[in-house]
Amino acid sequence: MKRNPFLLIVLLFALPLFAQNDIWFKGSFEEAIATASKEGKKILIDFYSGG
Amino acid sequence: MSKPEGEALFQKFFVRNTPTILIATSDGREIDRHKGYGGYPPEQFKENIENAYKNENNFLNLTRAYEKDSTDLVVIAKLAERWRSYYIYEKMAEFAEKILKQPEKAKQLKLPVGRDEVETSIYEFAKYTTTFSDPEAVLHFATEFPNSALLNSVFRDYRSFLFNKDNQEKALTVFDELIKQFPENSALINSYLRYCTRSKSNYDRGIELADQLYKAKAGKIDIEIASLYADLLIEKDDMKKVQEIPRQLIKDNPDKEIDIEMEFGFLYQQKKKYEEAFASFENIIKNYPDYYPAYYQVGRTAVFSGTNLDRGLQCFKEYLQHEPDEDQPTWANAHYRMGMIYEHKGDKDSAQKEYETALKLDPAYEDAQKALEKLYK
Repeated sequence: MKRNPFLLIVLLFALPLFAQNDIWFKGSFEEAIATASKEGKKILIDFYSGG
Repeated sequence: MSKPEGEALFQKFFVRNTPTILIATSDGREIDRHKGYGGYPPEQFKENIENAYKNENNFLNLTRAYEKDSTDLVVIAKLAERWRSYYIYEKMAEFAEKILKQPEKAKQLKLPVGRDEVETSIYEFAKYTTTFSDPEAVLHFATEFPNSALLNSVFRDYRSFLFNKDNQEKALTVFDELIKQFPENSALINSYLRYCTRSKSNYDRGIELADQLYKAKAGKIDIEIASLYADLLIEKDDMKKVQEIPRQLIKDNPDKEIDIEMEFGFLYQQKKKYEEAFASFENIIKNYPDYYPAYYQVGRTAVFSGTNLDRGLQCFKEYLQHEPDEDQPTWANAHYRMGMIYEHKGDKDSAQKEYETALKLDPAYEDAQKALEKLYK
């Protein structure tokens, strides 16, 4: 199977990490920035490889 | 998120290795990153990420300091070191170049760098960064800093030049020069022995260098290099000498007997020297009967060799008497291997039971599933 090296998921979070209001973000990175700025959150990006 | 946008983010943040966890400010500036998931329990993983955020030397703080004063050599060196740790060598070189423009000032300032966090002058560090680009740069660095604490790290990494077929000839020529200057350097010889085992070539030269080191250090070499040395000797079928090596190592490092026997046991397994592999693992059982991974390995050797099958089964049953640590083979592994032993014995019913047990413990165990499907075909 061909592996896709370009996979990532984005989490918007406030410290402490993985609190209830953290959300796995669906949308573009620009939209993630806009939402994070509005809600005063930081961004976690998980870059990974997958099949 | 679209695929092109995902690819663009890999490029924007210079992410070359996966997995990488990157945390960013709400306006998308990198705060810091964590390479790999690390196999940590969730709480520890969470703490690592949070600590990266709090660290005053995190990437964001360094970048901001650089934006405030782009002539601060300590900040520049810290950024170069950061890029080095991310394996983004072009960014590392970009910052190191700025340091080398002010050599006298850079010689006066120090910074902990490299895997071992050695306190080093910023000038020496900047020169060290050049060693990633070319074998000749390694020779220049080693000549200019023959006593550098970073030299072992440079020599350890030299293997990447030896492995690279495009540049191998040059790397071998430079190696000849380096070994003349540093004939007893374990890290350099380690790189060369790795090249020999990987390329399956130059065994005689490798053995000659390892021999010299072994004699110079009166047998007091580290386990890693001992194993590489033994690997080459096995290729030349010099088993008598091979067996001397772990005995001498154990004599010098009695507290590391388990590590040494395990290392050699694995080497013998890999080289299909099963009698010797059994002996290594059985030695551990004899001297350390509570060290359960050795039981597993006796069983595994029985599977590979197709010999000592009853002893193999007995050892797997012993292994199943304790709860394995996270880095040890699982119970599912043990049942799967037991199934293989029963297959060797022609007892398909028992093999089936073992494969089924392995699958019950780990429903995603593909090897066990395949073995079960093949069993009555």
